Amino acid sequence: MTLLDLSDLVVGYGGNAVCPAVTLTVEPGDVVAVIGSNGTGKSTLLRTVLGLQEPLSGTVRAFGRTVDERERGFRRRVAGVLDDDAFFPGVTVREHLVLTARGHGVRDAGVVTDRVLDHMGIADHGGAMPHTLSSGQRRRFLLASALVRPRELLVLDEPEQRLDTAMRTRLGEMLRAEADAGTAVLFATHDDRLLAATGARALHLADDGAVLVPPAQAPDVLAGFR
Amino acid sequence: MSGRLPRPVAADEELLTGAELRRLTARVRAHNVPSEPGRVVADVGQVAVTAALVVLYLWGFGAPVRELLASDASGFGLGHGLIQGMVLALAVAAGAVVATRLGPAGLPAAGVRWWLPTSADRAGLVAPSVVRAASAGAGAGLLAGGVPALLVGAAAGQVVLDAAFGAAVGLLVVGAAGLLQVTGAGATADGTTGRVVTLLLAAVPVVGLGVALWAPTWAAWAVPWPVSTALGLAGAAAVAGWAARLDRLRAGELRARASAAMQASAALLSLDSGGVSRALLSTGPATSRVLSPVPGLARGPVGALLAADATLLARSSAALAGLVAVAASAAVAVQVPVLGGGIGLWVVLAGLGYAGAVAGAVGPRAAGENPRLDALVPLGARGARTVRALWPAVTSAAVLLTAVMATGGWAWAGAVVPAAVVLGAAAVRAAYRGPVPWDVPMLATPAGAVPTGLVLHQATGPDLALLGTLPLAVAAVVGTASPTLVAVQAVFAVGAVLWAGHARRTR
Repeated sequence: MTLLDLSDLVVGYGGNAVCPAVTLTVEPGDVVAVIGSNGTGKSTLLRTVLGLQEPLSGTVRAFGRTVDERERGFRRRVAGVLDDDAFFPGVTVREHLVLTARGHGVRDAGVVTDRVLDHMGIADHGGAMPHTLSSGQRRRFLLASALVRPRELLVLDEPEQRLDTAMRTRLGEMLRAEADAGTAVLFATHDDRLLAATGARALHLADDGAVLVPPAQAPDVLAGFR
Repeated sequence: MSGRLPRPVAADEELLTGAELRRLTARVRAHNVPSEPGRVVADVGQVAVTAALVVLYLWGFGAPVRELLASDASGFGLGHGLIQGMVLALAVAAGAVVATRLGPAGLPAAGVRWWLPTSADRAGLVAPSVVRAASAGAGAGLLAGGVPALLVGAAAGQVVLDAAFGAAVGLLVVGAAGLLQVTGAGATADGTTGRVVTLLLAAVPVVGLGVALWAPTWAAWAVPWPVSTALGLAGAAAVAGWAARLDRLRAGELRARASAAMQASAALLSLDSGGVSRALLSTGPATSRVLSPVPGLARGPVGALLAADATLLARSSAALAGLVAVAASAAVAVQVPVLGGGIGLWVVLAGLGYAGAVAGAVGPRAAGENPRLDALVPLGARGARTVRALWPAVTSAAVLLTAVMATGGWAWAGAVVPAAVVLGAAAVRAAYRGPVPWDVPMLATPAGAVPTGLVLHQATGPDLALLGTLPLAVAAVVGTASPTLVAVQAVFAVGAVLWAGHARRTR
């Protein structure tokens, strides 16, 4: 079953397109990396896939239905992490994650949260307030918020940002494991090693069109930007 | 860092409703940050004392206003009905601006980030904001309807009727804004609704001008109960319809409102009036941008600056609407006998002329917020600021000439053009004043500490407007502008432009 189907999708702001039309299908277990230079619309594309923004034209369908983030069924199955961080004052890192898990009806939310915190290497900071974390730790924390809940499609915007080398390596393994477990992963990245580690095919957003690049060539295409 | 990543499993019986998730978050926070009983009592006491002081202050301030209004019920003075109508209409329009920009339903930024992506129902999450908005709308309407009636000396029964009418209108405004929000036509979805409510706000003085000319002695009025009841029922129905559709709210809409609310709150906390205006009146992204031919025609750095500022001004519907509103307000204000001549007239000209200049200073404000803009042109700070004073001077002149036409007092009109240059320079001075210098020591007075930095900041701009228009004040008092006075005003204009162009320091 096609999990995500983008058809002639054009995204942008105020009627102005920021990237070429995109056509893409994503099946369960697929890993697709969105690559391109700065300002080519990677984040805008991901926001549109998450239903946070209306497409200018074309369609976005997930699980056979037009994307509508207001539908509970969509939110249950799609986890996303963009570059936005805002936190409840007086609520710890672990409590934020437990609230997220409880909001999705996760059984044993506390246990799941502790395991994810451990996996992300921030177990020692579970009792800390988010604003006391370093930028890299905060990034791990935000990524953890997508992992404490069920998901069939994982959408991440440059997940490698602010992570150290070891954590980037681990992130690659995690995303590969996600795909092996049947989750589809769609992420924007500038990191060719992350791209190689996940074995992702790439959606290259260029001025002259959106091109799908096979996994073997994707890291080279991305490295070519530098 | 160990082990395999868990695969969380959801169960319907474990799923929290929006209200439950909201309450759980509040309980967690309360557990971590317990409120001390003494602190609560102190906070309640502080609110009670502050409220009492405000009521007493308003009552004391209201006494001379009541006397003035009571003594000004004849001739070509503004009728009490017009004053009541203008206050209520302004309150309704301002309420519509706030409701469509900041809500009416909303969540804190953290709620948008952590609650909205969950499976919890959206209605349960935003329900408290619906109650707050409806209460605030009805409450603000109650005051906007009742207080003016009280001030113009209406009978108690009439005050109650007007207050009830205001409350019903306030509820209806909030309900209508809520329905717009759930249908995706809110102010932040596209720019249309934002522009419409901004124009509504600007239209109030214009309509007031029309009423002032048509029925200047409109007597105090009271709206009959059946009308208020019908409006109240319509408002309640709108709120109910809105509340029933809260699950249709889009995350993007709530995110934009949380951002606008945060911007407005921060500006309020730092007493940044410009920031509050930007948060409330910014009309969002336009659906299209028609390329202006003006920049292409610009030659040289001066032409580029003028073209850029003209383009910014032409694209700012809020500034243009504000300019029309200020001009209409000036025309209305000079109809009041005490403001139609002498010092009163100068107050109107200097005050509203300055407001007109500020409305036209879109470019200078952008440059004041981002100093890199001026660095792009080879003019130097003084040169750039001097050039940027042109459009504010033009918009100020438009307001001043409107006022002059409304009074028919062309005798002193010669001083208006150089005065407009002064006011344009004052608006530029205000645009470049930077953030509030909170590091300036407070000034101890018998009435308490005065934040000197804030006072200095707020006075930057108006100070030049006040001092620079003294020749105009003399002209207004004597009722004519002699060539000598016009020449003196022109000298003041040159001095004002030099003063406004002075770049003191970079903060």
